[in-house]
Amino acid sequence: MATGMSGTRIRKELSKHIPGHRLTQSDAFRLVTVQPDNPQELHTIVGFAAREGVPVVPAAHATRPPVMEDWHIRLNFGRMSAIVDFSLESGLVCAQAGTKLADLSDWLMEKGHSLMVRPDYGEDMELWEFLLAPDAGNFGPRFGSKWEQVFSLSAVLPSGRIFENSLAPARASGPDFSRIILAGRGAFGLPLEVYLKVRPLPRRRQLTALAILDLPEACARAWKVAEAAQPEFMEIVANQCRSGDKVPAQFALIELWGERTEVARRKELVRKHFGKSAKTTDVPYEELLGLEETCRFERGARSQYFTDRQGLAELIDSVGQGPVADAPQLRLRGFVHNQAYVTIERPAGSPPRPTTTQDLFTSTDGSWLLQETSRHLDPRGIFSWAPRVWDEVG
Amino acid sequence: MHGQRVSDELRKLLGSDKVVTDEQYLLSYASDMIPTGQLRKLAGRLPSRKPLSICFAEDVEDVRRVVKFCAAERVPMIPWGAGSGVCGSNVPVEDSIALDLKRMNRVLSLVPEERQVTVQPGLIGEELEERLNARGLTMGHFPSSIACSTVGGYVACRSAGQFSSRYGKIEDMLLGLEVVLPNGEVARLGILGDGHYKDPVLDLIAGSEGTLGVITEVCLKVEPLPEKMDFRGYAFLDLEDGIQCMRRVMQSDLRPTVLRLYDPLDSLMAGFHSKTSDGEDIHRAAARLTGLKGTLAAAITELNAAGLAVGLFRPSLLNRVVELLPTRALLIAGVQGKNAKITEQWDRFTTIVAAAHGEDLGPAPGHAWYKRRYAVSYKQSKLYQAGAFVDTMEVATTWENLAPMYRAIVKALSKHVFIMAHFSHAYPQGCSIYFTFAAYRPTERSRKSTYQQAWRAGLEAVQRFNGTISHHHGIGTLKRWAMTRESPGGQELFQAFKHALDPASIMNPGKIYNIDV
Repeated sequence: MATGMSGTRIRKELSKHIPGHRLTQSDAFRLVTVQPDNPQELHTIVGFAAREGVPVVPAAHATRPPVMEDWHIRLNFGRMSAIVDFSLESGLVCAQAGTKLADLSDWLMEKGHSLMVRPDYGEDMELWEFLLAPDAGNFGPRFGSKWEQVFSLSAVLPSGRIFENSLAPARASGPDFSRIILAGRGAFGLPLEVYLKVRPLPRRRQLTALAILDLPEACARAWKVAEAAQPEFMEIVANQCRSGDKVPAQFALIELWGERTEVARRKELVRKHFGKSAKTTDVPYEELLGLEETCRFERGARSQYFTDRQGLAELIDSVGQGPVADAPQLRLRGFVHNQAYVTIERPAGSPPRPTTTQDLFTSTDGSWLLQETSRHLDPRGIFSWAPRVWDEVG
Repeated sequence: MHGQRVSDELRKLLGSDKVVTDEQYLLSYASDMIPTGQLRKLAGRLPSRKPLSICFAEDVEDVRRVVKFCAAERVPMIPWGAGSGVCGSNVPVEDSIALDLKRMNRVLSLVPEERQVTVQPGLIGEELEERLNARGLTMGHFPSSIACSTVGGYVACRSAGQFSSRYGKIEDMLLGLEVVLPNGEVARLGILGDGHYKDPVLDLIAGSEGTLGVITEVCLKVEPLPEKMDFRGYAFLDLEDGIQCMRRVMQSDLRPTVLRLYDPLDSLMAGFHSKTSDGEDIHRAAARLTGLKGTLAAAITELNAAGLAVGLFRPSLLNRVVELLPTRALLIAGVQGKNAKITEQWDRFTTIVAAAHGEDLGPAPGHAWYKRRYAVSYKQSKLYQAGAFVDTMEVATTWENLAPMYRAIVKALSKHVFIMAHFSHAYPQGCSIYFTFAAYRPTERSRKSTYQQAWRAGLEAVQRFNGTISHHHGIGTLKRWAMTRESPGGQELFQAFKHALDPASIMNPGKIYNIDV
């Protein structure tokens, strides 16, 4: 819903509400950029936007901003990038929305700890982007996807009110609205401070690369591998974009954490359950992991979704044809509760071709339910642009 | 619409065998197991409200008919499982009907190789477990109410079972749901729809206590039955050592089946009598106390019900006497797997327990607990009959706040009630505390007043530590006053969902949040 308010007026009005802030105005992009320092300022800024019907769009680093016809407020979280709490005892870190994932990872590493999921879009993402982006993150059967790493959060709602939940595991105090805020990809609220689960760095990290000899067989066996060996990370890659004499076109990357004997036992389970469908390769794990990076393509050429055992088998059967005909890279993760997480990359310039109508975050019915509710929560639609930050991704 | 007309219309819709209006039925649906309802009954007073009628749905179409009728006629409806809730989630409102789902009790599909089961919501937990056991599977969900609670109720209130440290809570097992929304439409979520196993909208319905829709199908993950289970007991002189031991276990790679730490008084009540490290026998210590303190100490050590009932007149004194007795905290642990694996797990336990200054008591206390694990819930009625009240408060927080929060709650409640607790449902990041409290007051009014003071003091103490006011019983009407602090902004989100889905506010109104849509 257009506000009709000019950029100059938005800037002037905001200056009154948050005096002392440097506000930049871009006539070309019809935006006023503001860098809040704390949740209280966000409460004020978003409250103003809600009253005046001015759209609020977070400034993402990993993606291009949506092009908008209306004047809007561009929220830059750069000044809200502090690590506000760290509990060794409870295995939790609390960071502000603008914290760069790379900085957080480095900081945790110095403390001997680690996050249990990595972003798909690179670690230059800010925390809020990482949480709201339409991907599940690089995850394995042991710890689950990125949403499962969120212990508690605060967020600014479209009214400007600050949402918080108690700092406790497994709450039974009504619906878990923190999950709804994440699923809304910004339409229900923007995360401000987030408690994430962390783990001590393992005494030993076993990185195993396997060349896959029989892709359908390896994928069928991966379910058992995941169940028996519980790898911290496991990814199967069918790579058409950069394979050569040494580099296998299809490979599995497995990461196992723990004590030496335990890791050795689990590695043996990996070998046993993959059987003859895969064998150890001489190509180092890091080199194969690096291939993922070199094979990244322009946004808009990627589709991601969850599928079940049967859906995965059908997809693998159709490699080289059907939905993955022009896919230079197919990546598979998860293998949790009969569901695998599929990423299909296509060449730059090719249109996104989702192989399913399924929303990455929820079902068709769930998506309808969220959309209906967001209209009541945000009648002027000031946060409705937030999810579109990633629209180009497809 | 007049009550009689509501019942007549419902009979036309469903058939007369599915609608009941007999007075004795209506009275039994006038309250769930919330203690204020029990206090009222024991005072010989009828409930202030009862439903106009009770509808027994047999399939999703029955549910849709009732919901559409209620939405059209603006008749509030209370979804009803087994009525075992203790927070007032099923308490009727003015001119409401109850929708009983217990006839929807079928197992719809069971795929052992995919380890998932889909059931109707009215299936009793124990029956589901028996059906699964027959196929070599288990749900891993063992609430103490398992014989008198339904699967739909578990999801609606985010239930937890005694083996949650291994299998998680019900929301961790949840893969999909079918829900009849307040407009009568059916939504299929998670893997029952075209969503995935961590569909966040499942987290909207789980814990919503029937305020956003009626659950009509539940898909859960199941696990193979363990080859063997084994249990042990450990003793700690210092409760905080026991807490540290639990934390270390949960942050290791061990996945214990059971992990429950009883505070000294709860250890005594669980029948754990042992000498302290300096060899002093608790009975000898009790004998040294004189006067009323001595009487109460004897009652505690002998688990003398009549003596304890006397003590409930003066709960603060009873609590002080407990502090004077040399006691230890009892940790019950359980593991499962193949024989070799069990030995390996106990070896690792032993190392962690020793580092936390614990003493291995062997298997006897663990197996004794396992044998009597459902017994405790059935002891409460005796106290009610004696004119006292008893209730439980299940809260949770992070490990670093756990011991301070426990102490703060004990301090806050000790003035009002006799109090004990155990720590169960542990996670790598924190743990739940399950308080049991009791007191005697001579009149219904004073009982109710003390009861409310205890709850208020307890939950305020929880919120000073930013803990949660509910780990697995839910909110209902009992705790809704504390929701503003539990989740600032949560009411705004809840209200948006109610506006969008239930504009007539027919679905279990007044629960979780007291809002007027």
